[in-house]
Amino acid sequence: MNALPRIARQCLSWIATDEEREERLGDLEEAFGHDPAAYTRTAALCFLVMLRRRVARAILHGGQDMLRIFVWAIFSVFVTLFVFAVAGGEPDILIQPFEWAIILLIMLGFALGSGRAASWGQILQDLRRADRLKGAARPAARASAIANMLAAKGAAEPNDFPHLQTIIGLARVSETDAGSLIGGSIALYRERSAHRLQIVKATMTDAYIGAGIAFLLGLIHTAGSITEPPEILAHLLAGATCALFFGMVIAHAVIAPIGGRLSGLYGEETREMEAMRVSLKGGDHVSFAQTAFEALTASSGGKHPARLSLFLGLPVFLAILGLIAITPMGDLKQRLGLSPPADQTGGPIYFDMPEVSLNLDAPGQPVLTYRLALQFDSVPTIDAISIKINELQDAAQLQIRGMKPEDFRGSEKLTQMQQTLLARFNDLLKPRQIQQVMFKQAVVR
Amino acid sequence: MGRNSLGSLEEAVMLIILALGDNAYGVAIRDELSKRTERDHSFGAVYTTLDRLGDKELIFSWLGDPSSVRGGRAKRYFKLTDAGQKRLDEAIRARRELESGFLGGKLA
Repeated sequence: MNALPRIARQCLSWIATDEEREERLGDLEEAFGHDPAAYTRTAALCFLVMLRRRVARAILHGGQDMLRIFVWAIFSVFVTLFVFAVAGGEPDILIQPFEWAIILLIMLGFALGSGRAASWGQILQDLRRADRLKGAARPAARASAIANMLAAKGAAEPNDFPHLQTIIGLARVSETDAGSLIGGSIALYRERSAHRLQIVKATMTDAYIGAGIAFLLGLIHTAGSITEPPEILAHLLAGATCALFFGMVIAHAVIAPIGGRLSGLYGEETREMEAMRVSLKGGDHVSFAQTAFEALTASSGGKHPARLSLFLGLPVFLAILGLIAITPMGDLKQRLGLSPPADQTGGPIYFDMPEVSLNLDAPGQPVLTYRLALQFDSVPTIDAISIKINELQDAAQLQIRGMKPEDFRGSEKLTQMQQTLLARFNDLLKPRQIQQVMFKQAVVR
Repeated sequence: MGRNSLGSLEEAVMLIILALGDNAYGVAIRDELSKRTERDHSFGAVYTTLDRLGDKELIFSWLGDPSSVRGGRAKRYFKLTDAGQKRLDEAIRARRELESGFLGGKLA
């Protein structure tokens, strides 16, 4: 065989599922085994047909399940951020690593304490099993793979159907007892799958409990900082409220889709077990394939006609939403015409620093009592200031201590000092910037 | 073409699967289709039709034994499902009614 048929065969093998590879390469070999040109032409055509089908399937079914769960989690977060930004929220407020950490630690603690962590290992294995067979969500593909497994053709990995391995084993034990043994096995499987779904639900509850605790801790933190300026208090309160949002994101964008997928998988597998119980009496793997197929398709509920347009439109919608979400939020609100430019947004923000008394380095060491106010236009700068407040105070005291009492009578020295402090403060607050440093009060005694 | 309608090629493939019985696999279906319709059908067209019928849950398939003439590869056999059998019966009946209408001059 020369290079071209080999390349065509390789392309086809690369894109085909195990079953398709067996079927199509076998058919090509049988029909064109002695005609390399026809073999290449037909293999290339089959490759293109299959590629088109794969792309359509990926759009229709959204790829594999784990990937779909991930995509929906990202989608949910993007939608939430979008709505939050349009409603006037500042995205920086959502960066609250402590709240995330508290919720996740509480969930982990509950999972370890209640012994649910071990079951999550099984749950993730179940999810991987659901992903393993290409296109295996389709009842026909599953029924066919099971029939192949029964006929020991090796086309399906037995690990893909562990629930059926038990039944096959039981059927071989004793013909008279097989019926009741298989019935017991199905009941056991139902109980186990219900338990795993229960664990997923309990984990969702853990996420809410974690969110509640993180919220309360945030409130306590706010109450403990009650002497702080209103800007800082508002920020702390917002951080506490964000904990509730994080809990909901974890519960509904991550845990709930896992539960939904598992529920579907367990339903499919239970129907397959029931189908096998019926068909094993006949002892014929082909009749099983048909029985299993009818059982699975009977309860699959059919596909929604609107699905194609939904899944074609969704990637476009996601892409637009993603682009908007990663755009700086200030710009976004301006682009949507929801708010004026930043320099007109609610005017400047002022932050009052605590009052300070110190001795000036002047004869008689007069006492200066002063209070500085900082002016800026970005809410997140409040966070930067509150974190660096001690350093700002030290820097200010260092500069101001060298002034003389008469410097506070004229404006020249004060203006100079304001400029010096502005440069020093901006250096300390990088990358945040303030626009002005003002003396709200300066009394020399 | 809607999901519930049956195309002429789909109907022909289903009839051939029915006629071939236990020997309905890719090469046989394609050969029989080309012979009966007196047209050369490509494998691509046959596989697309088979895949579409599978999606509509009108046929199901399973792998058979490997054979040396196929380079050690197995055949994939096809069979009509109950729903497929029913849909084919309906399509044939509808066409016969239409034909008898024409022949009887009722639609003239």
